[in-house]
Amino acid sequence: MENLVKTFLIKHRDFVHAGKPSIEIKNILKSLNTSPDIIRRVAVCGYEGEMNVVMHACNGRMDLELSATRIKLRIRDKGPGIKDIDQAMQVGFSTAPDEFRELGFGAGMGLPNMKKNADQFEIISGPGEGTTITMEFKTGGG
Amino acid sequence: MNKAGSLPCYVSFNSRDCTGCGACVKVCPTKAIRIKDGKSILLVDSCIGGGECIGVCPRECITPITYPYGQFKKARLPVVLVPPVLYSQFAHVPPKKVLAGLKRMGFKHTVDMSYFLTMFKKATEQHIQSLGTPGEGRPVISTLCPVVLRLIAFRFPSLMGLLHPVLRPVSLMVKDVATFLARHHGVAIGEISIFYLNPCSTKMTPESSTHHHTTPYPSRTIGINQIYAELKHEIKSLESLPLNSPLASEHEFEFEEPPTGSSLLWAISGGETAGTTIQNSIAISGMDQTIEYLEKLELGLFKEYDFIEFRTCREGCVGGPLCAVDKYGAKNNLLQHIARLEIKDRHEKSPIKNVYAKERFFDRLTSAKMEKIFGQKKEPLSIADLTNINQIYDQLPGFNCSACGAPDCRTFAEDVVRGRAALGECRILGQKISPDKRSKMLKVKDLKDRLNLVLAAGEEGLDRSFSGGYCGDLLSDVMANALEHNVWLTVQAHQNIVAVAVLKEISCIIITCGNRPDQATCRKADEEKIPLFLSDRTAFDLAAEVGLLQAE
Repeated sequence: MENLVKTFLIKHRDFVHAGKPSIEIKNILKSLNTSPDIIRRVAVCGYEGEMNVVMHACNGRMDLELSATRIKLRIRDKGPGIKDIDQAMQVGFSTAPDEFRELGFGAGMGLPNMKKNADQFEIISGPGEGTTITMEFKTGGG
Repeated sequence: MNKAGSLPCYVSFNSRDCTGCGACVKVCPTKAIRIKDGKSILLVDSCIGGGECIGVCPRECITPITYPYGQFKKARLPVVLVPPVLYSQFAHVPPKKVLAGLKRMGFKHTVDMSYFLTMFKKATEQHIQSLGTPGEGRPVISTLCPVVLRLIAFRFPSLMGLLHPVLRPVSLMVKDVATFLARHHGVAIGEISIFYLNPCSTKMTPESSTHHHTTPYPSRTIGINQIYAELKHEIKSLESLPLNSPLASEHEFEFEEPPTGSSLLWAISGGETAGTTIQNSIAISGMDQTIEYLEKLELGLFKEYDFIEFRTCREGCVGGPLCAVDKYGAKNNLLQHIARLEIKDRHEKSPIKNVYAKERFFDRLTSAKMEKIFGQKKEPLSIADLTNINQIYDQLPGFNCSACGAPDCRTFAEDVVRGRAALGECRILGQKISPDKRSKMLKVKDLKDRLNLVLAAGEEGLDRSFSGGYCGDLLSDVMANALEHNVWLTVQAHQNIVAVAVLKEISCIIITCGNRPDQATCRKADEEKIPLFLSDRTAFDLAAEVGLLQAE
């Protein structure tokens, strides 16, 4: 079966629209009758990814790729990149400024949470290179 | 499309007065309404009984499905269940008078719901306390509003795990009251006819299966607006009775006692957790807000809260579509009552704790149970369907004008793929594509043979299609009135005619009455690939023949 590809743009510091792409992805998955557990995991990963771009990076984009057996989510940005990925993956580590923490974000849960919820998680980043996170979710059947 | 009997139907549409204005189509949170042939129709499988459509109809065509209210008078032992919102409908009438009025109407027993609501509240407190580490299993979502339950089942199934596992007060109440009264009167449970006074259209079906926890006990629901006039009349007539007459203050059982001040809060948004030990909670009311917060909950937000109360009606149950008085007035009435009544709980904490420990309150909602109650879901789409929907959506104007009868372009695209609508039903798209679709498109080269034309230039354009034509020698007239894909018949032969043809996207030019173009004109026609034909006949003759050709 043909794959479905859809791209969503994420704007830096745009808190008003953050979450919209993840909600749309969620609704696409619902119309396909994807299991609620997978929808929940994709939504959480999508939203965490969006918030990372909104908080830390410049503009970015999120690509959704659907096939009969898996859901692929890729979030790319041209932001400052991550110096030490192992450190960034630790629960509680965060470089978010206070203004975001006050909003309830930046608790250092984002990346570990994404890794926990995705069936496959890959992060490529380096200082000045931006960050690309690719996640896959197995859906089994169609 | 209108599968009668496949699901409980919450509203009915009167198609006679419907003008097809589409107001209801736009407000439906589950996109369950379409306009077909100028009338609103309901996709029963998608209706969750939110009641948003009822109020917006300018011609009052949409009515909630109700139980005929006079029926209770025929019952042997009619019992009425009174939710706190009923008291909000009467200014300056204390709750005990409202209950007395109901008895005068003919109800054998009146049951004040707050007796059970307080139990529910205690059980909720207990449940929240029993939750483990912060964030886990949170936030607990209230199950009190039945529309929210259906909304979650229909649109947000991944949130079902967060639903409060405590038995809903209505279910608890129906069960307890029916059992107790049957024993008291020495009759079978079936002899007790329970009528639930209701502010929303959602429980408006005779089957109690619409409560999310099904009860085998017979109960019917009546809209508050149905009994309002008669009840008001009875309350007024109470004034002529002597003070402290037995009827006005009589209550045999504990659950017949009038409510305390704090239990009235249940009728307004935020009332579920007001005055409880649950500190960390938010209350959301209104359909739009409810959907917005459910969407965010699915993104994993609000884990810091213990409890979320949702009411799809604005301001809570006082905003219900079957309330008789305005919601803000009702809210004020309620707050006035609360100020006058005693603020205390109806139950001691420790006995409820004991009952709670026995798990009497528990009933976890499983997806299988939800499916049984809400019937089948929408047919799932395939990835190929989604690709088709996206392709169709890209062609649509994107105005979300609803003129096609669907709430928005996206839904219309889905309807087309699901075979519920035809692409041509889009009014704007229909207009744009009509010249090609409605009249036959012919090839310019067919014209050449049929009309015996001489090709002077623009051979490369012979494969162009045309539809209809225009006769005119005044260039500004042609500029104003010729349509794209027309054949243009003119006596003019100078090079500006090519420019006009290009600008108006005219398919070809026929120079009539033996006029001849100069070289520059022919060169330009070649460049622009616009066929330039010559004929000795008049525009009238040629036009008649083009018309005949098209009519074939």
